[in-house]
Amino acid sequence: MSTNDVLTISGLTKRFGGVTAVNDLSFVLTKGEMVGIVGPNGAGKTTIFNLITGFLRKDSGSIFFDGKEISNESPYKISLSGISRTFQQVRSFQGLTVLETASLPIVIRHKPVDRARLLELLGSVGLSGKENVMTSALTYVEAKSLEIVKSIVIDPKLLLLDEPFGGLNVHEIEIMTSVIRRQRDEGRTCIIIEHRLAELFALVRRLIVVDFGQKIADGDPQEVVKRENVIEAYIGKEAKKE
Amino acid sequence: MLLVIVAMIFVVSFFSDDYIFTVLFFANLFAIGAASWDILAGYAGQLSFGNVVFYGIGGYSIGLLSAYFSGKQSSLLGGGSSAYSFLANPIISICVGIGISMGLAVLIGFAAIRLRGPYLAIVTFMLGIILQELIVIYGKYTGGEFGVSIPDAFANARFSFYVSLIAMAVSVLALILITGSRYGLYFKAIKDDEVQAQATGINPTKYKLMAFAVSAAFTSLAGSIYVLSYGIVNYDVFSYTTSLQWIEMSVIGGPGTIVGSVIGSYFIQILVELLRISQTYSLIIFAVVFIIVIRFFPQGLLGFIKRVLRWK
Repeated sequence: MSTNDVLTISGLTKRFGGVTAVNDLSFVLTKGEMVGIVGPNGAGKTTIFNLITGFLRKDSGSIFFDGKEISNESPYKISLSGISRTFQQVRSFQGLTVLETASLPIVIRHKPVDRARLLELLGSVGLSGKENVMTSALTYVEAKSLEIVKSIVIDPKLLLLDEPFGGLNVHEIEIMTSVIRRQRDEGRTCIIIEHRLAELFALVRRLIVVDFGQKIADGDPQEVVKRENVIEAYIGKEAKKE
Repeated sequence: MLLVIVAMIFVVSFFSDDYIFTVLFFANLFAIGAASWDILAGYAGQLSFGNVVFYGIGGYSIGLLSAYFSGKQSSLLGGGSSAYSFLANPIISICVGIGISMGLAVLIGFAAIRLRGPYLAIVTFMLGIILQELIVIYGKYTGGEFGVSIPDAFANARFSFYVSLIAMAVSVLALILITGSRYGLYFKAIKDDEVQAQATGINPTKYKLMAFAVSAAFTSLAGSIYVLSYGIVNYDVFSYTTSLQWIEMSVIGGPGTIVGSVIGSYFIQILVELLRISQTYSLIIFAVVFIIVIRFFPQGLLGFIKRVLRWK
């Protein structure tokens, strides 16, 4: 294990009854890497996030984050250790304002809240002037952007984004891309689960493809998508022949 | 708030009727009960149907510690040890009640609050009934159905009212400070989305237990003051209808606001007294008012008042 390794997953397996959602998954993420995880629906992508963040317990394997095994830790402890995530379905604190939501991760860590920085971050995702608005009054894209701000305000060592472009229109995707690009340029270590390949390829230099819980490819995105097994997983054997 | 209290003392100083002081005494105690329920349910989202358990514990702490340690009662309990007579001091008894209530809240919480769902509501509801039964079964030690009387009850209704007013003011102020602090943010976050709260770094179990313990502590204080005023405590103090009234007061006043509970408590206490025809009718009125407020004022009376003030 190199000192640059942020996340080391080895032999990770998770079963739900007879279904193996994640099957003997292994990969290493080094500092500053932005990696995409793709795969057909039900391939186990979100399960991987849920295992890393402690919302699900593994059946076997290990997850080392920052040199420490975390797979038996509670979600809140994993969060405090420096892993932030967003959810596929936007989850917001309906009873809090935008500013309260954005500052919550800082407050729980007993760090001073830098209001100017928060407002600047909110402005960068199109939420300027909305700091005192209740999150229940936000549009879908605004709520999604706020979730990203909430995830990055604490400068996490690892950021997990679950379908950041899901449900967004072309213009909104542009905004979201620039937000994520900024994270990449600042050297944030990040994993993105996404179905929109073109937008994802503009951001990541490494792609992991999973199918039926197994890693079937890992490498340069342009090269990976040309692999036969990846095409098969995405569009099926018969279709490929046509 | 201080102004409201001073104004209130000024107004009631013109009254001489004990009846009015008694009504307002209960409005104050129930305001504490409702506000305590509100920090647990309105803020932290944990439903309890049996907060009256802590009211009863607060009451019995006064009754039993007095019976066993005051040295003034030959008493059916055979008490009268003076070596620990300090335990019968009302302030100490109140603190003992608060301590036991907080301890019990943490104990119940460990079993029920860590799970999401109706478990806390069921456990708290059942616990009140169980405690009532236990008091009767172990009547030899608890005074059973007849209860326990204390020799040093408050002298009159006016004094009881003043004590309850101070206790209410202190409790409500403390609850407002807690809910206005970082803890209030955590409670609200847990209520809104526990999964997202965990992903943010909040330990839901810890803060739900904290809300429950705080709720238990102030409810216990109200129970102690009730018994100090009435001079007697029996198993009726655990009646679940009291819990339901607190819920109603909090919801009618404005859930998740603390101050709304005070408004709700005063509103309902005064309304019921004004319309007192019989116990049955008062319950019907309770129900009708409850339905009207929930239907037309989801933010409660406080929300309505705020809306009216904004119009002006």
